[in-house]
Amino acid sequence: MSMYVQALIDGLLVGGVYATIAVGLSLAFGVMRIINWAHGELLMTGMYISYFIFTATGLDPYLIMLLTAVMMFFVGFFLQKGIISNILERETELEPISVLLFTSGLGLFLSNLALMIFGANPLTANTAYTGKSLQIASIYVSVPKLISFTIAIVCTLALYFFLQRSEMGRAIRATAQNRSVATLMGINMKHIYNVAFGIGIALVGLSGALLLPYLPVVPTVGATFSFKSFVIVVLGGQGSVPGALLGGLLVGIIEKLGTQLVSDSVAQMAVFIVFILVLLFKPYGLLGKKDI
Amino acid sequence: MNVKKAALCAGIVLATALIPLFVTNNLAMQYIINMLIFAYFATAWNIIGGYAGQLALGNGVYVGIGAYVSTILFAYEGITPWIGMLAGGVIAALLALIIGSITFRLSGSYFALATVAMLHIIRLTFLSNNYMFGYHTKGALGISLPWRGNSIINMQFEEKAGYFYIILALLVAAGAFSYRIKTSKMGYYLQAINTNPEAASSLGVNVMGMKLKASMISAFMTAVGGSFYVQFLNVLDPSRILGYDMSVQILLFAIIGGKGTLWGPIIASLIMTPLQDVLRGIVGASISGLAQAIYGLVLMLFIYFLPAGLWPAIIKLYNKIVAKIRARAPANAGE
Repeated sequence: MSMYVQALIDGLLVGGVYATIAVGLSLAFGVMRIINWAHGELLMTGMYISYFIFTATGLDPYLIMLLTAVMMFFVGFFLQKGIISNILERETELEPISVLLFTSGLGLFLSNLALMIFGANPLTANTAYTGKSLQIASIYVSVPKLISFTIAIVCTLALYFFLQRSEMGRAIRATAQNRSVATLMGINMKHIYNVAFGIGIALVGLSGALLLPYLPVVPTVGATFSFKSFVIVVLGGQGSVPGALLGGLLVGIIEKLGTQLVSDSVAQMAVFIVFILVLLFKPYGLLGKKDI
Repeated sequence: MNVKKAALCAGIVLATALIPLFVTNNLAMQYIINMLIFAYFATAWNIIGGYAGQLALGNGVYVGIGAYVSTILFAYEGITPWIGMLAGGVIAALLALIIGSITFRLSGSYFALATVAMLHIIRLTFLSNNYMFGYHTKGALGISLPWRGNSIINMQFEEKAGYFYIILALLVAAGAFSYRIKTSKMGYYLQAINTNPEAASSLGVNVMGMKLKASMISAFMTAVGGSFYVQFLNVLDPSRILGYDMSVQILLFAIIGGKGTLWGPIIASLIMTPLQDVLRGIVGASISGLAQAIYGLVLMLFIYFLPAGLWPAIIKLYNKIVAKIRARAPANAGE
């Protein structure tokens, strides 16, 4: 019995970070209707950057996360501003496929670039937290996972309040609801796109540092997270921050509990099957709302 | 198709057929066969991805189905791969019908994601089970094809030339069939669906039916290619044949070359497939990922600068040059 509780807790802890990773994708899809196929690869980039800052300076990963967040914000901001916006402009439909194709090329490029430069061997960062765990009753709670989870939840909540309360946040939500009317209200749509995308990638960069204490860095880590993020976005409903949180936790639980109950591959399959089911029956996500 | 174009195509095919007479280097032949295989896959994908405009990123699943069906029949039942190919094709088409009825309800990006989810579900099923339908498929270890002897009926050859002719024939058939579809009523229906499904539907086009039909045809062709591919490789590695990378590779060249065109996928495959092999020859196997990184970069450049693809750009350039020559001709004739 405690095995299952253990798996549940584990699932929640990793799920929180999944949520933070996915919320950026959700924002991009909600505001701009673009699917960033390179989302996972940008996470991979964040992880590699975190790894190298850590190895070079020995800084605490939870401080590095602030650095990577800022760096990746600008990466996202300028990626959107300089490149994606031009592709978006050409698209006549509401849902641009070209961006999907472009970002899939980007993902392919980034993961193989990492493969070429760093090789396929997993790199593990030996941080002060790595491998430590607390014992509560008969449950072992991994310390880095707990800290990362807490920070992830804090960031997700911060994003939620930012979107609800701040001027920029409301502008972003307005753009997501109705592009044309938002422009009529005097919102600089392009700037909003850049900021929204930047925020999403900043969170991805931050998550890279959050994962460092307990996940080895490999070029293929991006691919796993890319798809997980898509599943979470669909589960939670595009553009919904609470939805992304719920989706993230759910995916984390399905994964860990599934592995404990049946097997690793069945758990992975379960995630994909849930994905298809939600797409078919609740395309606006489990929470069912259409706007942020 | 007018006589001149038909003759040109026939000429190209005939010239290509002569290649094995001049190329004796086994490695070179392998590169060439690889080029033709991916040209074939790209042409097959083009039917659903280009003509119908459905971004089926998970179509690689049919490569795997074709490969598994023909390999199981060949290795465990002793049935010739020629029949195995067809069986694989039929099963793939049926699977496409099932998958399509689920995924075609979704649009654009969601559709693409759903097809990838299907690919992963099937991939994981094969990877985690040692026995499928009673046959020992050995999960992730894959199946290595038994050498039954150098013969046409076994589709196993000592000399690469045998494989070359089969894939050339398949490619020609695929190209001809693709052309046939493009210029038929179905082709126009697909074009309509690609441009504006709602308008097409209001005009009486059976959108779902057409999409399913195109998908089944594409799946059949892809599976046949998959069967051939494993016969050529002599080994079935599920993480490769049912992998996401493979699924992307079969459509990458269709998109770069110009999805929706006949020659685009073929030209792009012929130019880009050797890249992997040639790079390996130049820099050695140590720089793994270089070819894929270049593919990614090329895809990005094309989507950004030439979204219609390479072939339409070539055609435009050709027309421009022809127009310039014609513009000068009357002036010269006057002198």
